[in-house]
This record gives sequence, C-alpha cells and structure tokens, in this order.
Amino acid sequence: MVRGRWAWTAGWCAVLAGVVARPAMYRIPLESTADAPGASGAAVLTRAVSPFGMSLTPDGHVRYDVHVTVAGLPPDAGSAYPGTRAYVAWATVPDLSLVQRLGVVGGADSVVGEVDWNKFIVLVTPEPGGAGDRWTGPILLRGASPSTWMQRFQSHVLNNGGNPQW
Amino acid sequence: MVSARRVVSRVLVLAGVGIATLSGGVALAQRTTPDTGSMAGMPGMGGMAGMPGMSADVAGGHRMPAMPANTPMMPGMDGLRPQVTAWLPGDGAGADGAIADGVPSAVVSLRDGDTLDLDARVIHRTIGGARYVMYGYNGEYPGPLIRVHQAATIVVRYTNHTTLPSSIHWHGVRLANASDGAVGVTQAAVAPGGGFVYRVHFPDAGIYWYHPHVREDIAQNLGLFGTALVDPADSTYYNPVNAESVLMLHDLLVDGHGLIPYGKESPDFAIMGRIGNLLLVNGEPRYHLAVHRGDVVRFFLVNASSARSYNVSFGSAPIKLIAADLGRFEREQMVGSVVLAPAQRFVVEVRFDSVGDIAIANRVQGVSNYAGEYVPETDTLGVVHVSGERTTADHRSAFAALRAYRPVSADIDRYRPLFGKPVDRSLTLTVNIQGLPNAVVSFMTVDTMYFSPVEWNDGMPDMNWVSTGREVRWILRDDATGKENMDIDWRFHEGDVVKIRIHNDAASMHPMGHPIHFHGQRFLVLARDGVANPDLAWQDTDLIPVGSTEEILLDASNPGRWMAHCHIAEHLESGMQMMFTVDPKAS
Repeated sequence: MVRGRWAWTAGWCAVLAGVVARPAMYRIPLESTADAPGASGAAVLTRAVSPFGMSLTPDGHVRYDVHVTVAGLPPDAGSAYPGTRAYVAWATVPDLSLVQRLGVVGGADSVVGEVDWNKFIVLVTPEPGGAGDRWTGPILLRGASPSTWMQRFQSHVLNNGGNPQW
Repeated sequence: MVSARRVVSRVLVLAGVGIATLSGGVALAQRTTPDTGSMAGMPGMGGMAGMPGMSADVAGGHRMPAMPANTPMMPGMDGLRPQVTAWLPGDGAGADGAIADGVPSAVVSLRDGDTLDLDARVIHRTIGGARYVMYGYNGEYPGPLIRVHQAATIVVRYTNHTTLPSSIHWHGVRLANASDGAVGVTQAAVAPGGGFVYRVHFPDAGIYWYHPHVREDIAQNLGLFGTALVDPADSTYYNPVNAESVLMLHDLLVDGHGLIPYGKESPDFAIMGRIGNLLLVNGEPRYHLAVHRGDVVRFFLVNASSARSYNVSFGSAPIKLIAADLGRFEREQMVGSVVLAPAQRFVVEVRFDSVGDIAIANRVQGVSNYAGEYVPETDTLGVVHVSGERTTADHRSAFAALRAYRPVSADIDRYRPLFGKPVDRSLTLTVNIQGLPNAVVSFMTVDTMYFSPVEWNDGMPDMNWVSTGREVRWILRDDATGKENMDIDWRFHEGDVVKIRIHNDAASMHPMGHPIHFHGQRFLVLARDGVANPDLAWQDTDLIPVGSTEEILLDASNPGRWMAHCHIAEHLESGMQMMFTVDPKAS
C-alpha cells in the first residue's frame, strides 16, 4: 500500500515536472553527439507564409519554415571530418524513412527550409558537398520537433486511474 | 456576375441532385480514419461506455458523445457528466404540437430601403435519414440568403419564436451600433415571443453572415444562421465566372439517438468547443453542383461551425483566392486549400477542367490523444460533377491571370504609414480551469507536454463533454491593466488606427487556437510571429494559433460600444469576450 502511494506520488511529480519542462512549441534545441562535443544549435519553426495564417498542405499538414543555426562546430569541416567540405542541415521523420535537405549551415546565418511533416527530427551532418538527398557523414547535432512530445494516454500509469501496475 | 436567379437555382437544386448522385454508390462520402490498433484488453475498458464509437447513456438526460475509432473512454470517466441540465429543443412546437419541416435556404434579393421579416422558429430537419428538431430562420436552413447591393440599407423585423433568449448579430457588417445584436452591450436579449427591428447597412462588398449573439453554442449550432451576399458597386470587382455558390459549413454532434444534448445553464464542451461528427454544407450532408468542363465557379465559403476549423480543397482543381472577410486581397493568388476558422469567410474561384466527380473535402491531421499520434481525417463535404460538355463561356485566360486590385491597395495605402507604429494595446489569450473531476484534470495535465497549433478534431470528447462554463473560464487579458474579459473596455476615438498585439499563451492548462473577432470594425493582420504579412485584406476575424503572436491594425472608424471575442461559441459563452468603445468625433 505504501509502495503504491509512493508510486502514485512519484507519478504525479513526474507529470508536474513535465508541465514545468514543457518544450517550446516552435523551437527545437539541437543537441550534440559524441562526434561534435561542444557544438550546439537550434531550429526555430515559423509558420510558412499563408493568406490564411495557418499554412496547411491540402491534406492538412502544417507547413513550417525551419530556421537552423549552429555554433561550436569546427570552422573547417574538412579538417575535423576528413572527406567533407560543409555542414548540412536535414529534416527526417522519426523512422528516418523520409529525408529532406534543408541546406548548408555555418556562420551566423540561419538556413531556412520548409517542412510539412507532423513529427520530424532535424539533423546536422558534415558532407562532401552541398548536394545529396540523404546524409552520408556522422550526425553531429540532432533535435526532435515539439510534436514528438505528444503524450500517449494508452501507455501512461494514469490510464489505470493513477495506480501503477508494477 | 451571374444573375441572382442563377444563384437561387444553384443553391436550391443542390440537395436533390446531390442525394440522387451520391446514392448511386459514390465512395467519396466515406469518412476515413485509419486504424490506430486494437485496444482490446486495455485497463479500464469496462462496459459499453468504454467501447470505441459507442455512446454512453448517462442519467439526467445527458448522452456522452461517441468516442473516436479505437479510442476507449478513459478510466475514471465512468459516470461523469456535465454539471448542467441536459437540454434539447422541441418545446417550441405549435399549438397542435406539430413542428413544420424546414426547407432549404432561398435567396431574398433586397433593394435599399426594403424590409425583411425574419423569425426564429423550431423546425424538423431530416439529415441522412434521421429526424432532428432544430431551429431555422423563416423555417429555412440555413436562413434566407440575403442578397443586396453594396451601400444598401435594409430593415429586418425580427421575431423570436423559440424558447431561448435571442438576437441577430450581423457578423462583419460595419453597421450602426444599435443594430449589432450584441446582447448585453447593444441591446437586451429578445425574449421568447418578442421582437427587435434592425437597420442593416452594408458598406462593404463580400459575404457576411448573421446569427444570434446569446447562447450561440445552442441556437447557432441548431441552425440559426444565414448569409448576406453584398454585390460590389464596382462591376470589375470580381472576375467573370460561369457560376456562383455559397458554401456555408457547419457541423452537428449526433449519435444514433439524435442530437447530443446541450448544457442549459452553461455550455458543455467548454474546453474545446462542440466539434461535430456530422458535417454539413448549406444544411445538407451531400452538397452537389453540376458544371461543364472548363467552368469557373466562384465559391463564397463561410464557417458557421461552433468550434471546427476546416481545410477545404476541391480535388486537384486549381483554386484562386480572391477575398477574405471584408473584401478582396490586394493581389489574387493560387492556393492548395482554404483554411477557415469559425466565423471566417473566403471567396475563391475554382476551375474544373477534369471530367468526373470532384470531391469537396475537408482534410486535416487530427490528433489521437490515446495513441499520441496524428490521424489523417478526410470528410467529403460534397461533390462537383463535371460533365464532358465544354463550357459555354470560357474564362480560362481570366482565371489564369492573377489580378492586383488597385482600389483595395489604394485604401490600404492610407494606413501603410502606420504599420510601423508602436503597439497600442496588448492582449493575452489564456484559460483558467477549476473544479473539473480529478480524472479529467489528470489526463489534461498529462497532455500538456504538447499542443497542436490548432485543434482540427476532438480526440477526447469524453473529457471535453463534461467541461462546462462553470469550470472553464476562457480569458482575454489586457496586458497593460491585467483586466480580463468584460472588465476590459478600451476607449478609442472615431478615426483612431490602433495596433493591437494578441498573444495566445501556450503555457496555459489547455491552450487552443482562437478565432478572434472584432465587432463593427475592420482590421489588417500586419504580422504573424514577427513575420510581416504580405497578403493583406480587411478582416473581422483572425485565427491565432497556440503560442503565436499576431499584430493587427484596427480601423476604429465606427462609433459605438462593441464587443471583441473568441468565435468558438463555447469559449465566448465561457467568458472570452471584452468590450471597446469608439467615441464619435465631435460634430
């Protein structure tokens, strides 16, 4: 009984912590991987311009302009990652089955590309050239769209009236 | 312009032809919601109430709306119901207890100075074979399509034959304040059996609509709405077309027993608004239009739904966007679909080059809160049948040209020097929720990690249903004073041009997109999230997505005491309304 009560309280604490830590709706922090220690970045989402305010595809996907900025990457991609020449930002869906090249990043300027997927991930990789339709280099930065934080009621402990089953 | 007679015929033949066409087995009318997996064996799935797609009979006359496919009712929701009295219409029958059948909308062409008698009454509607007791203006659904010339003034003698208090608000029309129909601000409610006389002046061309401005969540949802089509004074205002049609979008929430009851003392569905599962165009579930190959049709789209936003497309037929709420855009442009929040209007032209049945569809990415996933939804609103016969008047070249309309730009030019002025007023949109059952609060809290910018569906109708205006208080907050809702009474002078910043707070308990409407005036949307809006047109309603900040320029040119509010009917009735006063110039 005590254990159940503790678990119930812990569950609520987790929920409340989640509320406090709610991610920004239109900003994706780009976290570095082990291949790029000290690097950072962000992908800011703005609604693609539309006379309706909400910019949708005909099948209802929201169209976002993705503004990617990076910092802390070696200025010369080729010296740090042999065989490469530039850092490229990509968007991909969670199962990586679809990929969209956003553009070359670096310096203070942000690269802007349009994405109209419900849930997606932004990646930055070093590449041999500016072209290509899928990354070949190691992933240096990555971040998931805020929509990936959508909760699943079916898997939450509260789906059983707040009583965990362990 | 095509003749009014032709519009009448177009509007009136829709229902009959549509039923005849679609009953032949056209598969376009299927609602498609992909499977999200079996929920059998999930905890809390006890009894019929938890079954996907099943309604629960609950004591007190309430009936819970059906859950979406493959979504069980959440544990702890059993037995919960809205803390209001369940209410359905039907107590306004005639002396013999009979209720007349409603009839489709007819066009009423009026000249300057004409008088129209308009009443609200109880009618029977048969929709998809089911009988419903609803409301109608003059017994019609929607109400009469009032067609007038720009600058005309008409008199409307209104009588309320329902048992609800009532009024008529002339949405988007910059008319004299006394005829605005805003109950509690410009007039007292019209009591059952009472009446009111409105003088309605139409200064602007375009498509407008009328509806009650008290308990819209009930009266408007039950069918009290109609359109006013204002023909422009300038004969070159619109492009040549082969036909015109008004598409008034609406949705009802029903189950096998009929309409889901309404909250008598306060609206139910107060969190998200009542999002229906029966989508209607001009009051019918199967709009139909017959055209020739190559025809260009001008559609006037009006969203009369309480809470549903639409994303409308016409198969792959090209769509040219012409006008918004109060008139033309500066420049025409091609669009892939038309996005309409409640109360918004858009005018588009569509060219039909492919022979066959073209589906008019609402296609959105809904949310399954249960699965934590997006769910594509497609609702076929109607069909345009394109015959192989060539159009009798080919407007191909006019359709291909994207025209700039100089008079609109010249009008906006007068305001352009003020685009960069500092923000004069600032509003925050948020919500305060107190007193909902723990089960609802728990799941809502879990769900606060992410919100879609706009809710296109109701993924959790069980929770939404039990929320009423007694627990949910939607808020317009004046950032400068901290005042909220009807404690706000901004003061302007006639001729003031006011820059207003509106921010939709994403950190609230349950943020939603809000269509914000200003009565009696017009505004330009200058910027969205800091990005200048290149597509200028005068509006009276704009959709503010969750987390967004918009800047509008209000042309405060019409004196009087006015309202501004969210046009989700349940949000309005749950507090999300304010006042502003435009003082007249000294004579």
